[in-house]
Amino acid sequence: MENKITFLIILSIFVLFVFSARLFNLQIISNYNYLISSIRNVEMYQPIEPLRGLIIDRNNDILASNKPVWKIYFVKTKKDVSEVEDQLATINNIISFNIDDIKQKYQTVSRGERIFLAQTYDEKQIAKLYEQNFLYPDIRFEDLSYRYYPYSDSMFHLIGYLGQITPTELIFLSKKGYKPNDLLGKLGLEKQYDEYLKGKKGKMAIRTNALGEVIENNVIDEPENGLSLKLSIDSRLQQAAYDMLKGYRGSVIVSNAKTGEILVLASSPSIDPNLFIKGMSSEQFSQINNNPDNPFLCRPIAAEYPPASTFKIFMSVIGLDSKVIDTNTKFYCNHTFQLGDREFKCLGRHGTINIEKAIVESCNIFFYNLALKTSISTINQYSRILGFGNLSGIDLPGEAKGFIPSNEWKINKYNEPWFDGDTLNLAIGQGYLLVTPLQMNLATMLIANEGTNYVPHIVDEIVDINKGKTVLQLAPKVLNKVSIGEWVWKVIKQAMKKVVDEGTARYGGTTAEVEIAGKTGTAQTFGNTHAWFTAFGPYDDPELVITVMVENSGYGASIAAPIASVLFDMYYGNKSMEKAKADIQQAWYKKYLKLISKGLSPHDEE
Amino acid sequence: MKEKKLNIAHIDYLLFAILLILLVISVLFIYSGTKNIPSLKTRYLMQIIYASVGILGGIFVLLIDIKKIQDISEFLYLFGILMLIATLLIGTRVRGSKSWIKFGFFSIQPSEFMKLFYILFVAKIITLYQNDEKYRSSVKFFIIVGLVTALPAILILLQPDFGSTFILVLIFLTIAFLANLNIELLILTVIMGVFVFSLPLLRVYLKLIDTTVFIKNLVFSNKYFLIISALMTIVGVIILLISTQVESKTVMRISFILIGIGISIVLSILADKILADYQKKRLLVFINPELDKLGSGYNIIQSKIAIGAGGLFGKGLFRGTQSQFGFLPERSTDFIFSIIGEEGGFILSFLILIIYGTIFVKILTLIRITSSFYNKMVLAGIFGYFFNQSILNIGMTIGLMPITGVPLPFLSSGGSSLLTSIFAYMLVLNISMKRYSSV
Repeated sequence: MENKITFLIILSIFVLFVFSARLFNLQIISNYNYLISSIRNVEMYQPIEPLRGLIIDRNNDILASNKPVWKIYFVKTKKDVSEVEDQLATINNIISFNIDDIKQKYQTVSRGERIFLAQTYDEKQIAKLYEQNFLYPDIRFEDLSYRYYPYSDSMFHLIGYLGQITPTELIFLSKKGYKPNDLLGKLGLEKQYDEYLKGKKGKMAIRTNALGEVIENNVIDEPENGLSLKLSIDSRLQQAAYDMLKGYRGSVIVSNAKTGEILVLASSPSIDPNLFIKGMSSEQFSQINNNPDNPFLCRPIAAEYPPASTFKIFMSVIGLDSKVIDTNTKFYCNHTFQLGDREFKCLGRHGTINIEKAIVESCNIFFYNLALKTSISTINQYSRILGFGNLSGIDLPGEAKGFIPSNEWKINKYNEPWFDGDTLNLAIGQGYLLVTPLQMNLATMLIANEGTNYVPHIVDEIVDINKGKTVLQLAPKVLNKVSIGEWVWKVIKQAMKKVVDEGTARYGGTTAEVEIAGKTGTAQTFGNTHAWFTAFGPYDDPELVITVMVENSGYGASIAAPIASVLFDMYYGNKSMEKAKADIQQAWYKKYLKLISKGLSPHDEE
Repeated sequence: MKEKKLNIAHIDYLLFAILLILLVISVLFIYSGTKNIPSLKTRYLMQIIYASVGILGGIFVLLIDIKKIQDISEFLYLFGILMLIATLLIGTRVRGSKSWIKFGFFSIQPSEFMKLFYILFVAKIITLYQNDEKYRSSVKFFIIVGLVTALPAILILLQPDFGSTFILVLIFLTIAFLANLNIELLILTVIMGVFVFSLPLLRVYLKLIDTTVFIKNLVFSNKYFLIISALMTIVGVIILLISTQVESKTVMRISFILIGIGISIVLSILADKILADYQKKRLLVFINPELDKLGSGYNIIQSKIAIGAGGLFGKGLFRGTQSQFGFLPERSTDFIFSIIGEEGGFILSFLILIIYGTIFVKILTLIRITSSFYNKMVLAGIFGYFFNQSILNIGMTIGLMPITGVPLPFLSSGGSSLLTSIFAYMLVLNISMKRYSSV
C-alpha cells in the first residue's frame, strides 16, 4: 500500500501540474486572444447612420428628403418557439408577416440572435406597437431613414437616386472611406455631390448579454449629418417642362444667361427614383431595363444630335466675323442648289435674300452659298470657339462632348477627303456635326450675352442646415469669352427676334409676357424629324436661355418652340402652365391679325 | 488500542483553514455568478446557510468515534439505496434528470449523500477481510464489491445522472486499487468501461458527420453487435471451463477478457439506449468542441474564453464579462471555476489548484499514518471522491476533460453536494485528530 500511496501522491501532483500548465497557457500566454474573444462576445460596434443632406430648389422646395422607416425584429430568448407563440401572434395582429416562416427560423437561429419580422413606413403602426411593448418583451425596433423624392420621375436624371454600393464601385471608393453595404448616389446630383451629402458615420459601442439584451449603449463618435444642396432649379418650371415632354423623347434646358444657373433640366422618358429606394418588382425592373428609349440617359447633357437649322445662326456668326459675307451680301434661292451633279434643296423658294432674311426664313440655299466660301477648318475652329465639341463642366456626371468634324478626321475614318458637299450639309447643321442640348443652350447664351457665357451649374450653395450656414457658395464663372465684333451679335440677335416675330417660329414662338428671340431646327433622321428650338429672352436684356429638343417628333417650330414659349411665360408672368397656354393662344390671335395685315401667312414654315 | 477522548485542540489547523477559505470563495463567486439572474439571486444565501449547517453538523462528525459510524455503515448504505429508489419514484425532474426529492422549499440530491454512505460501507466490507490478503485479491471478492458498487451506480444511472455514476465507479476503482483488490479485474473493468462508451459515442458521431449508408447500416444495427457479443461470451465460457481443467492462469485471463468484452458490448447497446443524445454529444465535443459549436461545444468554448480572458490578475470580482453577461453556462454550479478564472485570474485559480493539491496530499499521507484499517479505507474512498470530482470538474472548465456535469467540491453551489463534501472533510479531520490519541 505504501508504494501505491506514493504513486497516488505523484499522480495528484502531476495532474495538478498539468492543469497549472494549462492555466498558464490559457491565462498568460493566450490571454490576449481570449480577452479579445470575451470582448467580442459582449461588445459590438455599430455605425450610427448620419442623415443624408437634403436637396432643395431655389424656392426652398424639397426635392430629396429623408423619411423614417422602422425595422422590427424578434430576439430569440427561449429554447423553443412554443414559449413565445403568444408574443408573435400579438405582434402579427398589428403588423403582418409570415408567422410560420418566423417560427421555423426561431428554431434554427441561436439564442440572442435577432430575427427580422417586418418593416414599416407607417408611424401609427409603430406607435401602436410601442404602446403595447410589455405584451411582447422580445420585440426590438430599429429606426432608420430612407430617401424620398417628392418630384418622382420629373427630376430623376437631375437628382438621381441612392443605391447600395456595388463591389466594383467599392474597389474605387474604399479609399474615400466607403464601406460595403453603404448607400451611394448612383446618378445625377446624388452621385456628383455624394461626398457632401452623405455626412460622416458615427460609432456606437453596444454591450449585450448572452441573450442579446442590450445592457448599455455608448456613443463613441457622434455622426455628422450630410450637407444640403440648394439648387438653382425652379421645380415649378421643371415639372411643367417635364409634363410637356411626356410621351416624347427629349430635353428641356432653362439657364440663366447672367449666371450660368440651370433652372430646368428635364429629360424624358424618365423613371420614378423612389422605385429604387423601396425596391421594385421584377416586372417593373425588366420594363425599365428593356425600354428601348433608354430612360437612364440624361438627354440634356449626354445625348448628341445634329443641330439642324439652329446651327445656321452660328454659321452666320462665322460668315460675318470671318468677313466672307456682310449684311448686304445676297444670294438667290430658287429651291434647288446644284453642286457638281448633286442637287441640294431648300424647303422654300426665297428669291434674292440677305443674311437676316435667310435666318428668319431658314433658307438653306443662302447657307450653301456661304459654305462654299468657307473652309471646313474655319468652321471647325469657330465651332470650337463657340463651345461645341467641348465639355462645359456642368456639375452633373455623364456629360457628352458632341462632335465637330474635320478634314483629318474624315480621311482617318472614311479614307476620303472632305468634300464641298460635306461643308454644305454642315452649314445647315446636318451631317457629321453632333451637339448636346446643353451645348446648344450655352452657345445661345453666348449670342444673348454678345460673346460671354457662364459655366452651367445646378448647385448654388452647399448648406449646413443644422448650423444654418452656407459652407460653399458657387459664384458665376465665365466659361467662354469670345472676341467677335459686337455688330455681328446684334445682327444675329435681331434676326432671331424676327424668327419669332414673323419667321419660322411666328406661331410656335408666340409669347404673351416677354419678347423673345430664337431659332428653330428640324433635323433629318431616320423616321420622323428631331425638333429643336433654342431661344433667349427678354430680348432687350437677356436673362433666360431655353433650349428644347424633342426627338422624332416633327418640326422644331410646332413641337419644340411652344414648350419654350410656355416656360418663358410661366416664368415672367408667374403663371400656371394652363394659364400660360391660354394667354399664348390669346396673344396669337392678336399676332395673327398683325401678320395678315403684313401679308404673311400665319403658318409656320420650315 | 486504547481510546482517548478526542481533543479539539488537535485539529489540523491548516486543513480547517483551507475549508473556511474555500467556503468564503464559494459564496463570493456564487454571488458574482448569480447576481444578475433574478431567479437565482438568493443562491449565495442558500450556500451560506448550507455551509453553516455543514460546519455545525460537521462538528458532530468531527467529534464522533468513527467506530460508531463503522457499526452502522450498512444501515447508512441501505438508507441511501432506499433514498435513490424513492428518488426514482417521487423525484422531481429537472432538465431531464430525476435527481432531486423536494421537501417544501428545499430539495435534496440523494446521489450526493450516497457517495459518502457507499464509501463508509465498502470500507467496512473490506475491513472485514483486512487480514486476508488473498481473499481480498480474489475474483469472488472483486465481484462482491463490484455488485455493492453496481447497485447504487445503476440506480443513479437510471435518473439519469451520468456524472455521479461515473464518480461512484471511480471511487470504487480508487478504493480497489489501494485495498489490493484483484488488479487484473480492475484493469478489465476499465477496459470494459471504454468499450461500454465506445458504441454510443461512435453512433452520435456518425450522426454529426456525413458518412456512407453502408457504414451507417453496419453501426446502427444492434444485430451484428449482439452476434459478436454472443460469440465472444460463448467462446469465453468454453475457454473458462477448459482453464479449470488445465489450471492455467493465462487461459483463464483470456476467457475473462472475452467474456468481459462480450458483456460490455451488450452494456454498450444498453448505454446507447439510456444515454440521451445531449450527453453523448457532451462527451464527443470534448474531443472536438467545433463539432457542436452552438450546442454542447458552446459551454467549453465560453468557459475557456472566460478563464483565458482572466489573465494574471483577473478582471476583478463582479467584473468578468463572461460571468456577468450570461455567456458562461451553469456558472454557479458546474462552471464556478470559470468565474474564478475570469475574475480572479491565474493567481486565484492557481491558488485553488494548490489548495486541492494540499488536500489530496494530506489525505494520502494520512492513509499512511492512521493505524485503523477502516480509517485507511474511508480515507481512500474520500480521496477518490475529492480527487476525481475536482479533476473532472476543473478539467472540464479548462477543456482537458469531457463535460460530465459533476460539481466542484466545496465551491459549486448546491446543498447536498456541499454537505456531503463537508461531512467527508470532517471525517478526514476526525481521523487526523485521532492519530494523536491512538498512536
